[in-house]
Amino acid sequence: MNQLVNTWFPVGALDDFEEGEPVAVVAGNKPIAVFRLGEEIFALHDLCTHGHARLSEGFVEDGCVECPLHQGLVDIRTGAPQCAPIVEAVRTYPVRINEGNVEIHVE
Amino acid sequence: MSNKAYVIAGAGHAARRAAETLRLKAPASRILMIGEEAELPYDRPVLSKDALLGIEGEQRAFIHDADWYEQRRIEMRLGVRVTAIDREQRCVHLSDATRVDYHRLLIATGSCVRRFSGPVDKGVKPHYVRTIADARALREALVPDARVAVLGGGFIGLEVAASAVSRGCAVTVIEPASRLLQRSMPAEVGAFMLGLHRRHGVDMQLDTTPLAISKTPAGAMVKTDSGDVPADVVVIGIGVVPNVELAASAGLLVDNGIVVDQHCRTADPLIFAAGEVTSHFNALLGRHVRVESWQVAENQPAVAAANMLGGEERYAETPWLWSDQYDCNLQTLGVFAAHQLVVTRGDRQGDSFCMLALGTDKILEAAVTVNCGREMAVCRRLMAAGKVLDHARLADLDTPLKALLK
Repeated sequence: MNQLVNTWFPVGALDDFEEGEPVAVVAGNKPIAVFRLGEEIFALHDLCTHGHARLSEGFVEDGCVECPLHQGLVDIRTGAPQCAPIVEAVRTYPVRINEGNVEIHVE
Repeated sequence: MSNKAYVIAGAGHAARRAAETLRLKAPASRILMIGEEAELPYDRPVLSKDALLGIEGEQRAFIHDADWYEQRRIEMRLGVRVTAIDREQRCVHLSDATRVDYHRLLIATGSCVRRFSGPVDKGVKPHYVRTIADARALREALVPDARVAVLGGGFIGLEVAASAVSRGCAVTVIEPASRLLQRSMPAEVGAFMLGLHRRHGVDMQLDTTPLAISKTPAGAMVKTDSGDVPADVVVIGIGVVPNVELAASAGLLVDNGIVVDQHCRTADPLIFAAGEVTSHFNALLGRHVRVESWQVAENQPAVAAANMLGGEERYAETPWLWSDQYDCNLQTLGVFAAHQLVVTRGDRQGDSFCMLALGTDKILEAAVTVNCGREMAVCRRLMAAGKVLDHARLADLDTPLKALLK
């Protein structure tokens, strides 16, 4: 039971994350790209479902991240593909902000 | 069923994109795709890369399965070729002796490989990389320790070389020019790719023209103007030519591709063309271009489809393409030309750099990124916005490229 409770991983303070500047973190052994949109934080699996690209190296615009290798677009909030060549959704991870600290839930 | 069919000659990437758009914009229309290969439409980028590594990579070429087309009532006639267009009768004749009437016709016949022009001995079967069947055959041949001779140091040849290296093959690349990617890239990029391949153990033979491929007891021999290259597998990647015969025999204008305007129209108001078979007017470049890339196969057919339905959409994009070799990603945008001032950012000896070419008006006209795709996203926006750029700021690595967007 304790293991279930402990699956929220702290990845830094809210202030560490800047809009338009995604950050690569590792939580629960998973590579995760962390995005700030306004006062909210979102977490995507840090691998494009199309190429072998890190979404944390992508360009952020209008709530989407652009894959750095092949220019596919992914919705940062939902992981849904928005533009080819990406056709498969990217996994999202739940995020909570706990007393100013960002925590990501990884099973 | 209505006979007012939207007929697509071809069943590749461009044909798929046209069919998708037609269905989206005209839910009740009849859509019929006719393709010479027995395969469902597939995208080609993986054919020279992941598809050579395993079956899983090959499967990624197919964007939709048969159910997808069936559910959307996109009729497929596969393994059948359009042999002639009868413009007067508004129908196409097929290789199985049937005919299909069209309301609008889209020619999306793509390209085929340029064949090696020298003599090839009987009993040697050089590989080409254009179709999924080609990729399967080559994948079977790329066994560990096989000696692979690649004719052509362009993108396809280099991607095949990288794939063959990762399969454990001993690779030689034979290229007549004195540098790689001479046609499209600044010399520095060719030099970087040369170093990359040499570091991976590829025997790079520049300034070397292949003359003939002969049979030997052990395999094959590529005879060149500077010696013989023994090989178990010979791969030829010396470019493609557009499949224009169908259009030409129908009396449509052909000049390095099927000539269309920016609306993808031929001179016949019922016939359109899209994809890399076209020589299309690009308003951004101010001239007709034929572009061999995923980008044109992806985006131009959507414009053609909209206009087949009576739309007035225009296709104009700055040419962009990518190549993946080993862990290296290369992207290029626009067209490099002699009049440009080229600024290099990053260390050419290192892992990543980009080169930006400014026109006389100091606006970005072309860019290439090597292992820094994020900068390509910025370059595209700098170009689209027509930003006047300061050479010194551009060259200053302490100024992030992104800051120049503001």
